[in-house]
Amino acid sequence: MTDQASRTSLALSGAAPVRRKLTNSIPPHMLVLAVRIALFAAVLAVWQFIVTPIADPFYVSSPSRVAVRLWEWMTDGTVVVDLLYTMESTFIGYAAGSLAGVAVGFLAGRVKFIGDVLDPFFDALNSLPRVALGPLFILWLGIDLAPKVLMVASLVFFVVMANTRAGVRDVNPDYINVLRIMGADEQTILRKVILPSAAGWIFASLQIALPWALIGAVIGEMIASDKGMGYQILHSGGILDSTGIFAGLVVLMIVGLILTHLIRLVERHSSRWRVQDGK
Amino acid sequence: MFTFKNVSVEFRTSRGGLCAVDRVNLDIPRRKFVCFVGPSGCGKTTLLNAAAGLISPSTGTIYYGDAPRGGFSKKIGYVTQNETLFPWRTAAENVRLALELEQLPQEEMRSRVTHYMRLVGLDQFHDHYPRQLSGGMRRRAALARTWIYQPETVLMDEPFGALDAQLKLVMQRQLLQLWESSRSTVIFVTHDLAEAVTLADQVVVFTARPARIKAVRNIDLPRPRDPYRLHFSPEVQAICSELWNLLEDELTGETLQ
Repeated sequence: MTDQASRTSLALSGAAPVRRKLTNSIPPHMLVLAVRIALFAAVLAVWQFIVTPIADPFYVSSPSRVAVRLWEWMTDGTVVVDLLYTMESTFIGYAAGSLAGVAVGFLAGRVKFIGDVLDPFFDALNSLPRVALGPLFILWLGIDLAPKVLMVASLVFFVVMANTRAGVRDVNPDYINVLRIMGADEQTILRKVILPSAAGWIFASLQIALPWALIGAVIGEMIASDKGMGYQILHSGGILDSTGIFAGLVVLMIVGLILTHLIRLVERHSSRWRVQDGK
Repeated sequence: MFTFKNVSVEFRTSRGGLCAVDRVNLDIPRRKFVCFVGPSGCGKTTLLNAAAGLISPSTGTIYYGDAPRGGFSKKIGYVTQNETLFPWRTAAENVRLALELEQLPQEEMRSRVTHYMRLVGLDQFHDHYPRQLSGGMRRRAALARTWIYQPETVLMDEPFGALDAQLKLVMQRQLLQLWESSRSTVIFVTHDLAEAVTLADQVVVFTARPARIKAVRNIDLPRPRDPYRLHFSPEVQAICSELWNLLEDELTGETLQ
């Protein structure tokens, strides 16, 4: 450790750089990974061997019980049905909300008059707690997939719309003039300047909106449903089954992580020009 | 080519009207290289923006050819003072922009981009993004982006203002090469007198704000010109000091205000 520190200070003081020995150093990303795994294992161990014995497993369950439950769910297929149902409303709502959000965001950002007129309405609608709209959605659309999709879309829409609008308003007017001077029409300007310029904002919002989509679906299922992960968790709570609740949460967490990583991959590809030596 | 008839531009600000350009009458001959010089902030850029069609004059008319200046078209190119390469496109993709609008076949686009990238000395940098290029390289890419569609008239607003003296000479030489090959009409705004004299057929000197025409000086140096040699030559220096005398009054006025 001290060896490492003295090398660093030497390098900073302008002396010739010392080549690090490859044999006794761990690459930083491996170290990060190792500590991550250790931390995860430690949390599980504390839960399993300290929390569970002290508190009542009735309340806190335990990692081993949760693992067994997940295994049961997977082998008898119940989790697949519930998960697919939740995913269905998540994806449809996410896609619809995002598309509408991008479209309306573009319009409100690009056409100043429309933006000026609509902005306060958006603020008002967005400030409504969406859970409170649940009863209305059910009244209108019944208790099957549709109200959950609407719940998801209503959450996703505002996140994506607000960001798209900001991104479109943020476009450097000089870039627009470059194309305008070349005689480009509005549609070309939209496609060649505004969309690529706002893409960073839109991707950021798609990433932020993803957990919201999952939240919307689960809330929708908790309000009224007979299927889905939200229903499953609520049902487990109803029969005082903490293991079932935790198992449901683990499933949602894994799904959320996978989705977030997928979005990040897409974003990395589309914004490679931001990276200094990006290729 | 361009004719300014009694052109004034006034901006409305919180403190009332601000006159940037005051009754300019000027005729830019076809295929000539004309430089605008004047104290900074005098309204040269405003006049150029009006010529480009980005703003319309408060009074007076700008004619292009015989007709009043209409909408935007590929006939007029504009290289602005700001960095306006699209950061999400590579250098070659930026240069290709105007050709995409014409929807030329891929093969032709590629060969023209290659040609112009070589002309401005960027043939090794097709796939670099603007942030990976130096300031001079970005300037050259911006030049190529406009010249590639061969506009009849090219407006340039201090395109080399931010570059160091040596790089400026390199860029001036490249610009003259581009111009000799196409002979567009050029209006070039600068505050560097030597640059104006080296490049131009005609130098238009403006007063401090609001911009009025103070003098028009023809430069009869033979072409093709080599900025490397010309820049420090006695002829250029003589014309520069003559123009400087005109400008000097304007600058003193500025500091007194």
